[in-house]
Amino acid sequence: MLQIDVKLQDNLLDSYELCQCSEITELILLELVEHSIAIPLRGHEIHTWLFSVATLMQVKKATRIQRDLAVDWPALPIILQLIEERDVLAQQKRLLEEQLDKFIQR
Amino acid sequence: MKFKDYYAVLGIVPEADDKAVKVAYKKLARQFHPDVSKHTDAEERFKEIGEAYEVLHNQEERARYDALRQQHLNRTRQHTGDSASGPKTAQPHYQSSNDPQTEQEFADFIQSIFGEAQHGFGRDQPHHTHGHDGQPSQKGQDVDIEFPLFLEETLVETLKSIEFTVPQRDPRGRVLALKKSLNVKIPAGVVDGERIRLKGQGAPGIGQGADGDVYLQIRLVPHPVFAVDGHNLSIVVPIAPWEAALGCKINIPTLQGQVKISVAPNSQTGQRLRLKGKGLVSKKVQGDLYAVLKIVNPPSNDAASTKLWEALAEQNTFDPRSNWSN
Repeated sequence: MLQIDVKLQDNLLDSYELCQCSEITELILLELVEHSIAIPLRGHEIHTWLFSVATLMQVKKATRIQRDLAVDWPALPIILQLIEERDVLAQQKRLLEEQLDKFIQR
Repeated sequence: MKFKDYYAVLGIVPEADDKAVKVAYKKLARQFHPDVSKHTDAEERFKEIGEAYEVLHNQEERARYDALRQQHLNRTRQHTGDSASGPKTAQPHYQSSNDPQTEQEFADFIQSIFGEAQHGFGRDQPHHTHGHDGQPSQKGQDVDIEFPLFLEETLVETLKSIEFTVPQRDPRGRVLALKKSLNVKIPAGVVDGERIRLKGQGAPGIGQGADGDVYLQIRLVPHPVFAVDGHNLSIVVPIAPWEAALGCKINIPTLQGQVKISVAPNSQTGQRLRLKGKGLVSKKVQGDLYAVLKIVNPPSNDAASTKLWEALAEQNTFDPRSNWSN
């Protein structure tokens, strides 16, 4: 069986790889960075930028929403932020319910 | 392939105009988009909605579909012996079969619109490019795997086995399922929801296309004792009323073994004691464990205990509801 050590460098993507994995062009990547949808971990310009896997997932989600729901780029950050806030609240609700269950044994 | 009533999928009547088709699609797409919706069948519904829109917003394809639908309704009526005129409104059940001919015709229709990739209206379809030799190239399909981990397994680097299948084309172009088995070293300090990329371990690419990747999404298995809040843990610690009143030392479990803690006199239910560094590890910080006290009465008292409680009640003037008065 093949053994794989999770390497840090595989979980960092340069601009080319991010574009390839999310099937976007460099122009769209620039748009996403401009709207703070994709935030580079390192680097000052497109050829030195490095992104996390979490950002790749965010980019995939953003491009799906933009394509499927015909959303304008400027509206995307707000939509993504609201989705994230909703997910955080759902997570907090689950946590509080879990804590309450352990506390009152209902 | 079962016949689908695309008008029912979009919740519109067959006479609906283009604008109504578009409005219905937009409304349902917002409702069932898998990145937005929490419906359990959102992905499937969204595909169907997209498929319905692809067919109905194009005049030519809609006319072909309407003819097919009418044939289906006629045959259904013949089968059921229903002589009434065809339904004017959308059917409540938008998938139906029982007629092999319709099913084949519908499959051919779908094939003609969406091609071989059907169920073709989908998300993250692989991207086709052409290599320098002009041969088509396509990146291999990525694979998303939910990866359950026990809390204890996040404390140290853990070796885990995974098995999954990916699509692979043989030299004749047939799609086969390729079974893959991997041992993966999961680094310490992963958190719930985190994604780990296994580069090039997804489906093989076509032509000069790169192999797809595998994304493991970490899911922490709920623990019977500990609740997780980021890198911190909490545990409810039951104590007897006299332990709360007089203070005590008790052993509590942690992920790293038992630890003795001191409960101060006059402790209250809900009071939290912090055990620094006994939470989950992370790449940057070490989480803490919070012991939450819960005063628990004995389920029943013997005569001697009841007398002691009565004596205490007589001597003590404490009123836990004093802030209700006046």
